[in-house]
Amino acid sequence: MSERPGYFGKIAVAARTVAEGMAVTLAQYFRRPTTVQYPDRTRVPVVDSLPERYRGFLEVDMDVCTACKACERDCPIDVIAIDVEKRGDGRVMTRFDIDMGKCMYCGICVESCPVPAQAPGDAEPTKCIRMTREFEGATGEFSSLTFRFVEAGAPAPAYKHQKGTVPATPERGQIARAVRQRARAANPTAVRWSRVHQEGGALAELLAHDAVRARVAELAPGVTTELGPGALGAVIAGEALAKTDCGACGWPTCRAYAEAIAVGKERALHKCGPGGAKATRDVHLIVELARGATPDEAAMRAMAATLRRHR
Amino acid sequence: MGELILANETTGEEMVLNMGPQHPSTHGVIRFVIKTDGEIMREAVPDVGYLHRAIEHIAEKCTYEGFMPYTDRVDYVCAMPANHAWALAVEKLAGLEVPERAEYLRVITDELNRISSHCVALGAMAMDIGAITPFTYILREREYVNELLEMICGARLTYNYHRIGGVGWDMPAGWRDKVLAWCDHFAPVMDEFDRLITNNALFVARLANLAVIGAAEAIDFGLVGPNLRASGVDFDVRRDVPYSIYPKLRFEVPVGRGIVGTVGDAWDRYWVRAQEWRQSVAMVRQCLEQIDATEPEFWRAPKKLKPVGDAMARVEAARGDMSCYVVGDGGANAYRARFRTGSFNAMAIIREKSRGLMVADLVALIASLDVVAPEIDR
Amino acid sequence: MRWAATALLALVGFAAALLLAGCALAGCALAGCAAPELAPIRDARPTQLQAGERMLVEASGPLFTVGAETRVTFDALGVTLPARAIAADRVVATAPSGAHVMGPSTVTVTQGEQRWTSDARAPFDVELCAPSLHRLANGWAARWPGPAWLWWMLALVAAAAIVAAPLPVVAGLIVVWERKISGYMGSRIGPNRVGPNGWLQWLADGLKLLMKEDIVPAEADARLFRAAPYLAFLGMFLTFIVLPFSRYAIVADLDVGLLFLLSVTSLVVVSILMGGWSSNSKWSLLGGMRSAAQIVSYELPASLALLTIATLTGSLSTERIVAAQGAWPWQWNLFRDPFTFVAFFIWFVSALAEGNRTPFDLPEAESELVAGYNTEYSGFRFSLFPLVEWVNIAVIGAVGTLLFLGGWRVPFVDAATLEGHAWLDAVGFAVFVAKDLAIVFVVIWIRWTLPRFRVDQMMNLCWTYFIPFAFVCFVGELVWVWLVPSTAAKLAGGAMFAIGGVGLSAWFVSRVRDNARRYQDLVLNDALGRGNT
Repeated sequence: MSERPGYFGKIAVAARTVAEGMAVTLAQYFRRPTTVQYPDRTRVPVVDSLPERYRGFLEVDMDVCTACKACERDCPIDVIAIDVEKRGDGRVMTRFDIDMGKCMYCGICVESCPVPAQAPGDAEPTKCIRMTREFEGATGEFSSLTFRFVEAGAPAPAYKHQKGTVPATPERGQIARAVRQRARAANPTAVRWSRVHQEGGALAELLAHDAVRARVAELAPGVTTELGPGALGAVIAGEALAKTDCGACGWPTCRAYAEAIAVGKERALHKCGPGGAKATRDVHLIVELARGATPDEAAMRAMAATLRRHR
Repeated sequence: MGELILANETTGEEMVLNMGPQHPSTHGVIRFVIKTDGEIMREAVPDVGYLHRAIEHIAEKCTYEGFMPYTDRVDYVCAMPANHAWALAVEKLAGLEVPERAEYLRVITDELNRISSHCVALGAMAMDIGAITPFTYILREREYVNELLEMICGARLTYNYHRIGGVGWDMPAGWRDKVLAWCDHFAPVMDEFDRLITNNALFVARLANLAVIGAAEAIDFGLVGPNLRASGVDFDVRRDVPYSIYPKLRFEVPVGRGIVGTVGDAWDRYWVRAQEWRQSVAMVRQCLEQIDATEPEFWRAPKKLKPVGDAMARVEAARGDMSCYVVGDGGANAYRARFRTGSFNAMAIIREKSRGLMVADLVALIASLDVVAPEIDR
Repeated sequence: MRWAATALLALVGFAAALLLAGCALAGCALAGCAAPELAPIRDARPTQLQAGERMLVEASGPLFTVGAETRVTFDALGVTLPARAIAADRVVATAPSGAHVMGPSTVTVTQGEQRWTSDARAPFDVELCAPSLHRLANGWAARWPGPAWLWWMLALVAAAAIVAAPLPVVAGLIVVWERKISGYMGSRIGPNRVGPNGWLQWLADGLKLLMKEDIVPAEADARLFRAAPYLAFLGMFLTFIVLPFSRYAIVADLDVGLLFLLSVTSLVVVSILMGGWSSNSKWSLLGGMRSAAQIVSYELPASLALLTIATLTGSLSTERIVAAQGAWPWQWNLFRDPFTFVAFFIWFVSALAEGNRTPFDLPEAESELVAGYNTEYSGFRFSLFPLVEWVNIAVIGAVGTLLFLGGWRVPFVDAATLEGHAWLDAVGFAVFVAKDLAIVFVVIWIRWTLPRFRVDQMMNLCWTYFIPFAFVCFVGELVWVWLVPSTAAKLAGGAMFAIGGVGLSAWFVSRVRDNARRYQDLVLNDALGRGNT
């Protein structure tokens, strides 16, 4: 027990500690806040910033699944449902459903799977059933949370795994995204982004994650930040625009439009009529890459801009 | 319960107030029935059970390995020690050995989780007393810890990291440097927190000499953990009933000293947790140094787990002594699992201590006992 | 033992105050008795005149010649007014146009070679000034064709509308500012989506509240329940009458301005009690009672602190108080003498208590009472209580500025310069608002740093700490004004500025920089970016 301050001592202590506290908050006031503004004001899509071991949605690579049912057995809450049939001299799976709404994302199914796999871009080996970094599944209907990895009418044959081999598997997340989109297709309350994908059609194909990334990979070697305006204009005219010289964009030739964009005189990047959404997307990609954006950022911005203009 | 509500004992200015189960300050879904005379309380009776999820019953339906994610939910604010308790109990029951690297990883994650749990406890305490800014600062720190734990096991709150026979993953590349960087960052934050709120005259005035729990009383009511140590009882499971590799670590056990009030008052319960932070950081650093000398094996998974017998394990969770008693009858599921948690016992003392307090003090008392509803009800 | 000591201290202070007051009164009486003879000119009223208005000068006997050419002069100001004697002991003078002067002065009546002057020891407070809103209204009232009462009703409604219209916007902007400050102090961003950087958030919240269902609990006392928020609004709104936002932007310069301020802010107590009681809910009742006790207790130290300033200035009028200060910090009332310095802190904390702000926000303690007396309110009525609270913060800032921080005074500009250039008045307005906002920032800053008091601790603080100190300040100020010569007072003022102003600020800034230096930022995952990326 320490000596208690007297009347004036208490006043002094109160004044000092209050002033100290206020100094702490004022010092914090001038620092940069630590808020991350999900989902639209992040440097990269949040999905790409998560650690590799993040336990998001499950996905199953049906190409390497042996139908051993170990995951179904070991799941503590029985969210996996697998139906296996004998067909000919092999086995096929007619159903492989995982209820992601009930799943508790514990990862025990992954540990019990006997088939290792190596996905590109991962430092550590994964399995045939694995957790991904996808987590954006908010939907208005429970049924869209059941991921069906075997589509009706297309049973998947069981894979014959040789012990000791590590088969290749697609990039983690791809299958989950595809299955999630399929699950949402029947959902009338889907958010705007996935309505585009659900309606299908040209715009959805154009803006599919994989398509955009492939296009960025194609364009990136030819577009760097050191390109002069003339060279940049040539790339835009050559790769993105429709090459019809129709004048719909308000410029006499495609080349003129491209060069105006390259020097910054023309700010509207969507004007190519015959090029349509594809031209808009590609022009945005090229411009973003020339500004020094990473491939992911360029993809994100181009998709957002194209969606804005062409829905 | 019924007699408290129905019997018309209110005379004069007495009121019967109902606090909860939805209330901003009850640290979860807990209900208190408060009989007050104006501002002073006659009595505050806790009513628990709103968060009962029959976790112990689920253990009987689930395999030993499969039950591990459920232990996260026993106390979701401090899930690693609960994982640890279950793993320890089943390993004792089945006579399994755990690789040394796994023990170190267990302790590192336990201590990190203890720090983040104390972040919630102290921040919520400050917020219940009225200061909201310290809560935001300390949650920012907890975010860092969550990120660290997310890097190692993939989840931020319900980790499912420990396994029967070891841990689920080893440290990823670069993780140790990130943890050390965070420890360096956290040291001045702890001091800043002390400057901001711990020694603040108003905060001290609210908590000093509030709900003094003497040592004998604390033991009688079965308080554990920081609550017990604040009352002057020098007992810590990590030191006195050692498990894992705690004997190899050097750490002190803070015991309440009544610095601004009496030993065992609410400020002491706050202060003990604020000192435990520092000890945990020191332990994490020591573990990260010592783990280099261990073998790379981190999980010795048992081939067939159908043990017979019973075993009890005690770990020091953030809220005190969490004991797990498991009975096996030779099947793949446990016959009985029983968790004894610190918050359940702390509820009993609230009724005692609430006599004569004001309603505002009741909030401070609940906060100082660091009660979380999932631990009470399981 | 400590209690006995403090009680004794309070008693001693009280007794000393009474003794000193008695001595002061006796002294004045004696001083008065020492001069039995009366001056020739006994009275002149009114001495605050607009061009063309008339003043009556009374003599202590039949001195004047009716009909002779008469002039009335304000000696100290050098202004002459044409006059005429209407009786042997009465002269009526007319204020000339273009004369803009103010200050203490004796009055001299000249008829030919004869001069009569008023008492030099009791100069009149003369003010010949430009038209103000009130005087303009007077002039227009004379030209109104209809009945006078109708004109005044319309004028009052118009004035009330002009004052009331910006209040929701002011409250809204302060709300958003508070949320952004609390955000940055809490390592996060406040509202940032609605409007540019979130500055229209108040509009969205206000509209949302207006669209909500208006619930009156079934068991509530409906009339009181409905009326309570409006009474609170009234209490806050009436204070705007006496706040001098600039030289001319004051609705009415009441002679008893400070007294008026104190009395109308008490209406808020009544409304909180009404709201708490009529909600017919235990939680609301507790909140209402706590708040009433709090506000009523803290009226005392607040009033005493205000009286300290009134003693210093010699007037209760808010206009006068601002006029008596200068524009530079060392000329503010805050640094005049130790008693006003302490009075500022006493007043500030008491004003926080009266405004129900942390650390005194028990009536609204969210973590305990849900929302206290607010609990049962919804929709527009609910929005009125917080609106009153936030405009009250601005009023606290305004009162603090005018009493202690020099009001609207602009550096390098004195009263004379101000008369000639109306645009400087806008500068004064901006200065006042800036100082007001500085105090508002401190109020918000304190809220987001400190925890809250318990009821008994808050009462203890008031009665054992604030009231004795407030009395000491008041009596000390009396003694200071009475006894301390002006040179010593100026020196003391300089010392106060050096220690209290510069010294304390420097110490505080060093603490802030120390805190800033110790923090090491950490980014574990820089992929996402932070803050306003």
